[in-house]
Amino acid sequence: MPRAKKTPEPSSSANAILEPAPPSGTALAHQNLALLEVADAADLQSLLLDPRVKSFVLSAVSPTQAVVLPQHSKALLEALKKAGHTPKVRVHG
Amino acid sequence: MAKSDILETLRRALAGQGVDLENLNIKMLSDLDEDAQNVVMGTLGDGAPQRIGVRLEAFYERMNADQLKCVAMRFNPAAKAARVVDNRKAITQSLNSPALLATMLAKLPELERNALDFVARHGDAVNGWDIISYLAGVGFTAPKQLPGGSSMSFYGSRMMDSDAVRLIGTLLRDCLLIPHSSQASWFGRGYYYQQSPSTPEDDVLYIDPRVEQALRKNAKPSTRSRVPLKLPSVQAQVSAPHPARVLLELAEVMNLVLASAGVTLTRDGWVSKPVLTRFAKLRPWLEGRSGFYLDALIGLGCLRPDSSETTLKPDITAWSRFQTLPLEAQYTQVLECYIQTLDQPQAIHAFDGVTNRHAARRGLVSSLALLPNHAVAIDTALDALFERSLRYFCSSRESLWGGKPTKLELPAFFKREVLGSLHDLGLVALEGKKDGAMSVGPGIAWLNGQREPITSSALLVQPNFDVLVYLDALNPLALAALSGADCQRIDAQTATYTISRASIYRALETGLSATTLLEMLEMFSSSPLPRNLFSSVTEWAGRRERLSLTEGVTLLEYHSASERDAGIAQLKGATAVGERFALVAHAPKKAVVHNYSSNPTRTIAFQNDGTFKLEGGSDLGARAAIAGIATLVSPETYAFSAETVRRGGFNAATREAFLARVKNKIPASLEALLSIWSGKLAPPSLAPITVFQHEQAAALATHPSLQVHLDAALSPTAMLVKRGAEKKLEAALSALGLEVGQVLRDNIKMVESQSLSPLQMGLDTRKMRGILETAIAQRRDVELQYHSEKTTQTRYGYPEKSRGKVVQEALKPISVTYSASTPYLNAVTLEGEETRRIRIGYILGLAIA
Repeated sequence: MPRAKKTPEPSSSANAILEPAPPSGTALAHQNLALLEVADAADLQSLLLDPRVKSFVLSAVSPTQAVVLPQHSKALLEALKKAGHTPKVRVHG
Repeated sequence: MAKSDILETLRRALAGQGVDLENLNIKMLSDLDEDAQNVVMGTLGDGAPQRIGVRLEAFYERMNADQLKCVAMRFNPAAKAARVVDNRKAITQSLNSPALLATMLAKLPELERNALDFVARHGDAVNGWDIISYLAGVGFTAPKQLPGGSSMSFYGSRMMDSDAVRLIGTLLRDCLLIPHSSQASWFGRGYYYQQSPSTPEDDVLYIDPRVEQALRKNAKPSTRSRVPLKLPSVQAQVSAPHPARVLLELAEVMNLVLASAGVTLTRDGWVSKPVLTRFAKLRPWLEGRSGFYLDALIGLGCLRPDSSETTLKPDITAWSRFQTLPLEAQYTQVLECYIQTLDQPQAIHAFDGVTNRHAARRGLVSSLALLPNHAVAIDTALDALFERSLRYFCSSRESLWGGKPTKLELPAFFKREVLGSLHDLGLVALEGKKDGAMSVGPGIAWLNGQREPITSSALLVQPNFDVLVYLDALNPLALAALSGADCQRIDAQTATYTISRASIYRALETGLSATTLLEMLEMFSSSPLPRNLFSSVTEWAGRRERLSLTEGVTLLEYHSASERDAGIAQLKGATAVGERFALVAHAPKKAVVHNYSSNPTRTIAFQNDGTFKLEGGSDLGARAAIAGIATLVSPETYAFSAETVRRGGFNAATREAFLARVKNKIPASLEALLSIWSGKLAPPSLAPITVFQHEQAAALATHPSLQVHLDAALSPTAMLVKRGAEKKLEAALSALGLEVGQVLRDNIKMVESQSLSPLQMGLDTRKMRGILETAIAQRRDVELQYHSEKTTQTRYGYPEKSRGKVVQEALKPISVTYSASTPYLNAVTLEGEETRRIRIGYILGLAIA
């Protein structure tokens, strides 16, 4: 009889933001974050399955966008380059 | 920046300090703040005439009665003034009278007139060493004595007795040349704290704008011209690097910096050695010159320290501006950086016979034009240059401190520079870089704007993406096009570059578009670009567009999608992100703000039962971390969940975010569980073991027949038995006539002490400092085994520090400080009663609680 697998499969959705959201009628401003954007949702899913990249991603905020803490953006950039990507780097504003 | 803009900026900067440029009342330019000085200095050095407008009246306060008298005698001898007030009046009267100024100029000796005309050709400000170099080059020699003797005070300081100062001494005394600073090379050093050498800015000399105007009105054609040295020719094959190589190497070092997104600095502000080692590994053909080019890039303003002053960041705008200059101008600017290269701290105070290294380098470069066109023996050339010109840039140690100068000898500094930097810069051609013959290098022609006209294409792009560069035909745009390629080698006439995905990516990151890059390559290639290059570059650029990272963004989070959509309608330029977020330029005033560049608020509070609660508002960091490791067990209460962690939500980012937001300490058992669940640590093992127990177990274990069967000691009374050796140990004990019991005796203490965790032993100081700094940041206790620091006295009475007794204790680390460059840990005991200052290099082992 095959043994039951104890470790769940890694999931890219593990990085999704959970509640609580801000109360109705208020807005929370999150300043000085880094935003990772890809062309389509499959690209983000595959990035979040790559442990080298996933380590530096805080959370996905949409199917094609994820937020990164400012102190991790440099390490994420290096990890992306090591993984063979050529990310376009911009500064907002 | 246009010159008129610079002067306007200067006027504004001066006005900000209450100074009117038209009616200047500053004492010395060095009294201005740094911004204003930078504006002043920014106007110097691009070769075009510069006018700063420093007026003589501003210096009256700095001059004593004797000097004022000399100045008045020079400007207005007919006034025959005696009192200080009268002397000032007489000078001002002369400055405001073109006729009196013309009379004064007509009486100037030839040396003085030539010096002032030289300054006037450059505007009203010039580096004083350029004047000295010019005067020496056209054959003037210094008078035997300083004007007024060596005891006379000028601007409150004593003049230094050297050949250079004697050459322009009367002009300095009589205020025809006005010094920028009392720290200039023309003044002697009175006290220990004055011994820092002057900077190039200190050595700038001004002439009053009214004197400059009079000089131009009463212009006299110069009868003097540069007198070349006549030196015997030697038969030798001399060669020098092409000046274009300097610019290619500079661009390649900039490319390395761009690829590594910056350069780390040491605490003293120097480029760290690992950076230089990495660059040397990546581009071995640079042969250790990357340090010089990094300094040059700093000097050119293309690398600037970031806000923390720990990293140099590339300034793409400054670099692009530099690349648009003609190659000769780029080369001249790099050369100026060489002249102004900062010396390492240990070299600053080392006296090596030159008055100041900046000036000596400047003098050496300009005196090279005196050499003949043929090869000459290096020593002969340097001796001749020393007699004619270089001696003006030297001084004896005695003259620096006000003593009588002794006979000067050619310092080794000049030969070192000729064989090293000047050859590398293409200014000097050498016989195989050996100590034999030398001649003037091709760089001198570039400096004098005598580059041969370009008649052919600069590049040849080949189907294998190699680019052949013809150095003689290089121009600024072709050089800029090479930012999309990596240099492989450079020889006397050509260089080879390779275009790759990484090099194209780097070029695109500097703001160039793929189309522009291809157009530039096509424009300067001698043959049509290969078709496959177009498709590859276009594809690489396309891949870059598919993935982007935008730093410094502000996201607005709303309760629901409908609220977000309503919010976007009111905010200009806002774009939707996901269901509940919006990307905005600035946070609205009413919004609650979480700033992720500052330390987060600690909102996660652990309960005694190991669950935790979110207290106060929670930012994305706290929520993402909780989502990755915990589940909601009751309203507002969370608990770690093995299943959630194993799903992969606990990574470096969420871990750091969680730890930074925890109010009190995470229970050690929970932290260990997190590490095991996330796969960072292996799962625990449970297995039976056999213990060898006796009051004298440690002593018995030293017996050779028992020792081989025993493993680690739990305490002096209990030891582990090696796996599978139980029977053999029993037999060995029986052979020694000992009966072996099978039950542990309760009256013997099994383990003597309990450590926080196993100590990590044998770490180097840097690693230990890193661990301790992490522990401080995470507010965790540490257990240390260390040598206390013992201070004894040497036999000469000096204190000497050494290792004292070994101590092991649990401490609360507070900070890491330095004594000179030695790191120390400041800590308190867990009870908080005693403080400790532990030398990190003396720590034997450490564990984090």
